[in-house]
Amino acid sequence: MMTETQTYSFFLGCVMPNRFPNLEASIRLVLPKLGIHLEDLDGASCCPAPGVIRSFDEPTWLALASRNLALAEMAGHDIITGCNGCYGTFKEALSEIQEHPHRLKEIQKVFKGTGLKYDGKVEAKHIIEVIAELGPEFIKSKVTRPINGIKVGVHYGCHLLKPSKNRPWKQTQRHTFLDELVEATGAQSVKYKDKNICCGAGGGVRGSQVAVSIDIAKEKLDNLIEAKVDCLVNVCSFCHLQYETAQVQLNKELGEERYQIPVIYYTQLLGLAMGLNPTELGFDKHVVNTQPLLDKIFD
Amino acid sequence: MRNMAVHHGFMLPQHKKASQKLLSTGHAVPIDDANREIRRDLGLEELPPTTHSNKKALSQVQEIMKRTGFKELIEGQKVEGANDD
Repeated sequence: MMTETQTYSFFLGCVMPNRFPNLEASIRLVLPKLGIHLEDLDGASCCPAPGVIRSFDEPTWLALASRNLALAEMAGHDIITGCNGCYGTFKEALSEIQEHPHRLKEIQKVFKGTGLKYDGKVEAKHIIEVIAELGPEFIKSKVTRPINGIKVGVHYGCHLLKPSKNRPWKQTQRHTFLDELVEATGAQSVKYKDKNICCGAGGGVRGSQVAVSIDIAKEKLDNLIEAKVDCLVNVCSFCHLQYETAQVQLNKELGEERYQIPVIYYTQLLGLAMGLNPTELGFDKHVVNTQPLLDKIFD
Repeated sequence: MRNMAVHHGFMLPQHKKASQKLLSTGHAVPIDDANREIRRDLGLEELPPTTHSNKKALSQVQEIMKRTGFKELIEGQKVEGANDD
């Protein structure tokens, strides 16, 4: 249903607008400069979270996900999100009604009299999906300040890639599209151990089993330190929250300052490479100090 | 599995809390004062254009959760360990 002008209904979710609005600001600044227009999805709710609400009551998860999709459908645009979890919810909610049409009828019954109209004709996209569709060469053409000399540890996240049967990427266990988009900015994507490991936050783990969640995050952070990265680049607000806050918790527990890896969202990195100001991209609103990274970039 | 557990009265307190936030605000992770200020600093609206700034939308979300039985499920929910069965 994508319109010719590439206008999307921008779905914010919970973590991005309510905990890391700097990511939202960077998306709102950068995407229009790539020819991707965003319209607010007025009145949207939580996606709702796949590892949490779906695991408590699947019909409620499907109904609320369908409501958000219905808002986009009624606005005449596909929905776009910058959170892997929200992306997973929408892709899987759409898949559910396509594979089991009676579920759509159930949803329509729940929506009766609410003013919501929904036929499941909308598509769900991820921010990085539409950027990947533009391609690394196009991104390179937008770069005015190459991020040379910066080593990046790329983090894809789970729900962006899996389940692969209803994701748009080629069938492989070794994806490279995000590495290529990072390298289009001039930065270097470095190899590191267990790159595809989960951030440890999803599935309701961060919410209820914090120690386990932090331990999983630690494994990747240790691998990134070993690879001597200057920053981690992600495309998920929940993974972003996990890697930002886990480092503070680890430093506190260990009584040291070992974990100081700046955690950067892709549109922040791209925005810098496009010549935008770090402050307007929210680099001063991170949990982990980004100044050492900025000093190295602007040195 | 967790659907079954929740429907049999088993739910971790943290999970119940997230569900209650969803019921009351439309967000499992609602805005706080610090992030209202950050949003203003960044030139964004203090409240995002979600159920946080649209009461009619929040009512619609709450009505859906009532119709699917989620409201009753969570509000009548005991936390893990408190089940007498």
